[in-house]
Amino acid sequence: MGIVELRKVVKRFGDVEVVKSLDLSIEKGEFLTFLGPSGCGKTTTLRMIGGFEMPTSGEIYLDGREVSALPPYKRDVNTVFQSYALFPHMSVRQNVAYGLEQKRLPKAEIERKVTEVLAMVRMDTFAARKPRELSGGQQQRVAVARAIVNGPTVLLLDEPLGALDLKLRKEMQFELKSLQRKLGMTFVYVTHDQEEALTMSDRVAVMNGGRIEQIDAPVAIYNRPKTRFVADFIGETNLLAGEVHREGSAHALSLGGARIPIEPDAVLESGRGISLSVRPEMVTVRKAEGHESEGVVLPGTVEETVFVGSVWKTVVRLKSGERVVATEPPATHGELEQGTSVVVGWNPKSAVVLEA
Amino acid sequence: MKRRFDLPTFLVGSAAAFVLAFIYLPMVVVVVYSFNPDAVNVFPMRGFSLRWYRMLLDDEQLLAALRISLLVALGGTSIGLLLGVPGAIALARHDFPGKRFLERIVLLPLTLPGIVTGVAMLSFFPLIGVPVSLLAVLIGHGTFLIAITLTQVYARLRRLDPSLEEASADLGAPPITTFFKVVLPNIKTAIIGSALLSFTLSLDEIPVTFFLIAGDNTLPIQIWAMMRRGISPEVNAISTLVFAGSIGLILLGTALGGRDKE
Repeated sequence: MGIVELRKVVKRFGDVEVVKSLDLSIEKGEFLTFLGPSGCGKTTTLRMIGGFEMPTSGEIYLDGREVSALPPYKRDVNTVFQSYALFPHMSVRQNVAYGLEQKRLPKAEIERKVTEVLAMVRMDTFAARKPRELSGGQQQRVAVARAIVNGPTVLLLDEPLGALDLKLRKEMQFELKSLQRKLGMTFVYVTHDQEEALTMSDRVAVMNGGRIEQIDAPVAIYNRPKTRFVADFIGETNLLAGEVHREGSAHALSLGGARIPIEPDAVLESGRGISLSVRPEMVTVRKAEGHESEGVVLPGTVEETVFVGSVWKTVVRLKSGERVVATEPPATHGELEQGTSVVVGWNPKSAVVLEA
Repeated sequence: MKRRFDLPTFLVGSAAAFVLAFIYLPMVVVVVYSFNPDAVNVFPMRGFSLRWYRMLLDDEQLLAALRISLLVALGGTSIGLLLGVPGAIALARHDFPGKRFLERIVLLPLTLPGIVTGVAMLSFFPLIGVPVSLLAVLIGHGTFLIAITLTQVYARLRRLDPSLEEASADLGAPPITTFFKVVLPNIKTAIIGSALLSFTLSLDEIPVTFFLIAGDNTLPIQIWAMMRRGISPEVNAISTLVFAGSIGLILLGTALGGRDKE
């Protein structure tokens, strides 16, 4: 049994089912991220683990104990809030000591632990300040310190970096991740930023419409998406919809007049509607003169070429009407003019077959 | 560089001066005349005297009225706080049937003419067995003072991030601890401010009091009764004292409110 278990958890607000029968097991010491667009139920799920919302039905277990109906102050979890929620009338030190004081620990021990954790987040020199005298990043560190000082079974983080600017956010991602490794603490994280989710997590649960669409390691989420939504939401991708054409063990996707070889995991019947997801970095664009290579080769014309620094981004309109985006290293070719006849191609192994 | 004459600035400045004069000149007159050695209000005065203040100290009726007024103001303010603060928390943090309706009508006792509230209470209180008395006055004042505390504290709570209370619970504090250690320190100045405002409002309230009072006059009613015998310089003296007291409370209120916004 995982350190956090959700069983058939449903949350309804009025007539709206925000979370739909969620089953989930979170391992001890794991960094798990709920990722999804706003309104997908990720924050509500986190708040149910924290005790701020009660599930409409289903059970939640923390370290083997059912906590579904327990208020937050009776659960051994701590939360880093999106707004930080630092107590404005207390100093940094008082904020961090608050949880330990509730546990009625001896004064000397509180003092020692607070000092230790403030040093860990490099806020020891700010202990006497009030929250409003700190920058966003500093407040963020205090909020983390205030939560981890209690040594919770699970640390919940609700979009904790959402209010920071990009550069600081990247730094804090790194800091949070190394803090989590050092403490070996279970982190449950909520974000709508896919890059954040991919870089920090051991596992990512991609949520959509109150359900988990896929829960997997970041590499698998990116390379082997299981649904159209996941493929589309994580990173950039080309989605081509068409029908299966099978000849013996060889599969192809019929797209307009073209046949694109595909390699599905299982045997698919001819005529079945599917989507093919191909990452732009897997696609190559070549001028249509002569060299027809192996694998997928589709003719089209260049609509637009953009230089994005590290790569050329080329948008190609296929003969069949679909748009395909390719990103290639600058060395591959120069700028392709609009209207140039090209062929796009990719290795069939790098394309993922999805339900239509 | 010579400053040029600026018509809009001049007009705004004059308007401000007029408004201030309009409000404060009558007060100044009262204060000045309270030190008049003569019984007739004429200017210029023939000297400076504390005669009317001395007389005030010997006026048993007036002193009794002052005591009653302070008592009523204290009691009314307490009722306002005891019911207004929980009411504000209920409105700001909880959902219950009729909440919207309550939000709308809670200001009614303040906005209705005092005479309407007075008549209403005069006809209602006997029905629930409260005779016309000091108790009735106390309840009457409490009723419209609840509105003051409730609206002030409610406004503050609306600006207080609810996740502070969640954070407190998250860190292991039960609701009572959360209230005293997190909520109260953050609404403290709103409570003190509304208490001071309630106190001053109660101190000079006439219409509601007038309908509900039995024998013991409050200070404004006593002053009003004295006025029927002509403007006595003694009235100037007591008015000056009440004015000074109010200014003191207002200064105290702003000082506390200002500290909050540091």
